[in-house]
Amino acid sequence: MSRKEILENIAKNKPSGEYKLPDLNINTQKGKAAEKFEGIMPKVSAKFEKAKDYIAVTEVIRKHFSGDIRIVNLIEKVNIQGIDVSKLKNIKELDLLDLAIIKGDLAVAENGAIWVSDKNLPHRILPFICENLILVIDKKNIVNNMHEAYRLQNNLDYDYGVFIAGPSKTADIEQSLVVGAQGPRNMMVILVENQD
Amino acid sequence: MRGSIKDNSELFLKNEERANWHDKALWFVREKRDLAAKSVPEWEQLREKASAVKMHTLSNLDRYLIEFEENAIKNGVKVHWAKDGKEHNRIIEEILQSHQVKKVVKSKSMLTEECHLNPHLESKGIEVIDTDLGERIIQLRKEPPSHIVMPAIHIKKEEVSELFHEKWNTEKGNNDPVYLTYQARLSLRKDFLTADAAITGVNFAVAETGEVVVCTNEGNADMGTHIAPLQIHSMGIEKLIPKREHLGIFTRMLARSATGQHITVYTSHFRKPKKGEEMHIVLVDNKRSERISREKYWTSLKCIRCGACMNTCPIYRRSGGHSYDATIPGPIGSILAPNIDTEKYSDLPFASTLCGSCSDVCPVKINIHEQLFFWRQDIGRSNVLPKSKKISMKIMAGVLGNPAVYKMFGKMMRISLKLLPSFVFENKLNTWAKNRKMMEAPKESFQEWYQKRKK
Amino acid sequence: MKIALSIPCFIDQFYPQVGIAAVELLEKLNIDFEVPKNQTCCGQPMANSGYEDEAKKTYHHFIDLFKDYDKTVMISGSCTHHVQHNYTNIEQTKDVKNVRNNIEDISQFLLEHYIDEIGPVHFPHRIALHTGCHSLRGQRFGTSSELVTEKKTGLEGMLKHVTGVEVVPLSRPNECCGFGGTFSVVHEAISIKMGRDKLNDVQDKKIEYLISNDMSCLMHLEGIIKKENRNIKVAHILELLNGSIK
Ligand code: SF4
Repeated sequence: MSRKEILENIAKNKPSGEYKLPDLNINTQKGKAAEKFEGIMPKVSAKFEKAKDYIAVTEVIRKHFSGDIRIVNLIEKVNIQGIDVSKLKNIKELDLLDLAIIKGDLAVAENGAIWVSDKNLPHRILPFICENLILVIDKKNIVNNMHEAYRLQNNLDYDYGVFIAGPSKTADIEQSLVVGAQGPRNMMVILVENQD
Repeated sequence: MRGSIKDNSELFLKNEERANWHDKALWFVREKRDLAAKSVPEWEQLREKASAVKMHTLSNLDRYLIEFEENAIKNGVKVHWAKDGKEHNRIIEEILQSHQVKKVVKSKSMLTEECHLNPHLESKGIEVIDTDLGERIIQLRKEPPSHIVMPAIHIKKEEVSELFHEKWNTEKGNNDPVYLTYQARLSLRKDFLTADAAITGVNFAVAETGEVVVCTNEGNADMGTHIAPLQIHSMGIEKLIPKREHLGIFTRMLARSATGQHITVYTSHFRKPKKGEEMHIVLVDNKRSERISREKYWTSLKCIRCGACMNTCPIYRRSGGHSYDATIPGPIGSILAPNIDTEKYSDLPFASTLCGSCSDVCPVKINIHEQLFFWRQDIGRSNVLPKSKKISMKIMAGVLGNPAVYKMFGKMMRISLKLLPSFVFENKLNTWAKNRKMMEAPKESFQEWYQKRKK
Repeated sequence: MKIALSIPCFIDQFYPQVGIAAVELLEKLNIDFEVPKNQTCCGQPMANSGYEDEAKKTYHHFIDLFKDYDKTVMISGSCTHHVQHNYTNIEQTKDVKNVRNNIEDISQFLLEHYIDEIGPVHFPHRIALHTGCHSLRGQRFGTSSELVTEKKTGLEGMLKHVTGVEVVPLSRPNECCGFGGTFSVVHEAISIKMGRDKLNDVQDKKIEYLISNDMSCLMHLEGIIKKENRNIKVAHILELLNGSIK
């Protein structure tokens, strides 16, 4: 069996010196997380809006998206009707979905990444297959950096989770940045200021 | 037969305009990396920690692999072990066959390049679609990647336009990257919707939780794995890290080093299969368990494949990735390849000025340029270099080890420089002087001046 | 303190004026030093070609020459680096350790201890600075552009008491010149391309002098300059500080 062979080889060959696991005391920059987060949004090509509460969130979305479009809304507090994903026969029906509205669990100020996990996702494909993605995040859930993000997430239970920083992108043709590669072609982040 | 980097790079440089374009494109990425790194004042501390985490993990790799496997199995994942590329390909083939898979979508994975998975599956009648845009371009061109992060960095947009026109009948002469990217999106979307399985590479695997982390900008790994009923993740055993909290260090550095982004657009954490479906992880050794024993070289296993050492390398930028004719090009490739076949790749460690920029840019602090130097010695000691070279070294050693001979030789050199008409010297005898004017011979050497003056 | 001045082979043979500048500078500074006779080479050319075993004899010769000094100052960051880092395949005797620990590039040595006693020198020219890669990244003479640390002074610090000089930054901070020892011949095409790229940048910026602490980089670049009749002059920093640039 290869498993045995590989493990035995490693046991025999691994370096004998003692290499300690380092502590994670890192001198990070802290503070002004919300401002930093907002400041980085254009850099990840995400549109950014603030809303004081979820009623306002609904208004913001209605302002930007109206008419006859296919929407999946996964946030109860947002009053927008859409497709009932529990009734989907096949997730492939979601192809060309116009808009998905999804709650992010936490956001990272240093890079604009927002954590979305399958706690809030009936189908993992939802934040990827839509043409437009809206991620809603509570201001209190913004952390300074990835270290803090992973520390917090330690308490989060998920089968699948993803940090998303902006709409999908590529620069594979002559290093020109093109937004909208395989995933969403637009992304908006709505920050909810009043925590409830 | 493998081409030598010397011949290949000479050919590459023949088209100077294109070489300049290539060099500039990569330097631009290096500049973006500098800006991103400098936005993190604690950057050097992160490098230290990242290196230490990797060294610790590698020196306890067996233990962490067992822990990883245990947790992955608990998560409902099927774990496989492959001792080499062949076994890796066979395992994947078997998984795919047992699900009657006809078509696979694959996101970027240098490991599957290393194992030559695509040709293997294709020979078994399974269609493989590379879904990263750059990879798709080179796949359509039937070329290997020339860079580990930007596989199509050597190709111009006009060529992409031609290619897409030919393959997908897109508008002829439309070279707009936005248009071209959109056309690729349309084509790939069809593939995502019709694939029976998805394969991804792995950036990090966490022992503590049994999860694998995959980083992309396009979202192609997620498009593939979430739609297809079957998902397979191939990883080299060196991708392991002990705990989730260590991801903080690496996700802060990977994209900043690679492209100058603060983080990749998607950092996806796969722990359990989708409901009712299967998830497989294939752990691949392919001589890594041997490499780990090499005192001078084992730390090359720290590599997180960010590509920064390529972007910064003045040789890589002016040779193009294909000139290396190795799975992984550039500085890191030049210290990895001789591990696999020392003789075959014996020229690569010499394709460097040992300037050390690679080592300083490397987020996990691999002493790349020192390892290049070590490889030169190991190669020099083996019998793979031409005999004539060894003889000329012996002569040189004789001259430099013996002051009297050196003095005489030096004088002869200076005299011959003076007396021989310069064209003889410059054209016939001396590669040095092909494009450089020979040094002018001074009247006396420093030593002669100094001794005279003392008297 | 017993100080020895070490002259690399190519300076001895082709650039005696740099050695002379070193001697004159050290004398002006009243530094007591000797130039051991019978110097040849540090052995780097052989080791860089993969033949460090063949270089052993040269290494021993080098150690013999300098073992009795408290400090060896070498007119080359690259050779200094080689002795410090790569004299590992010979027995590490007390003498070997002494030489390896106490060798220093002359530029670094002067910057650390004597910079305020040098000059003032008037040099009213547009110049660019090129720190040899081994000095920069091997000895941390200055801070390489890859690192995110506080900038340490290197070559530019040596201009502290030089007046009239205008230092023009190059487009690609500390990109290698392309010399690389035997690389310059084995990979001639890339080496020349790297050299030309640097010189094009120098020329575009209308720089008169390219100043370095490493004569081997300049040897390579000067070869290209002269072959292509470019209007750029090169000089070692010691020549500049000694006021002996012709
Ligand atoms: S060696 Fe270092 S710089 Fe090069 S790809 Fe690997 S991690 Fe990145």
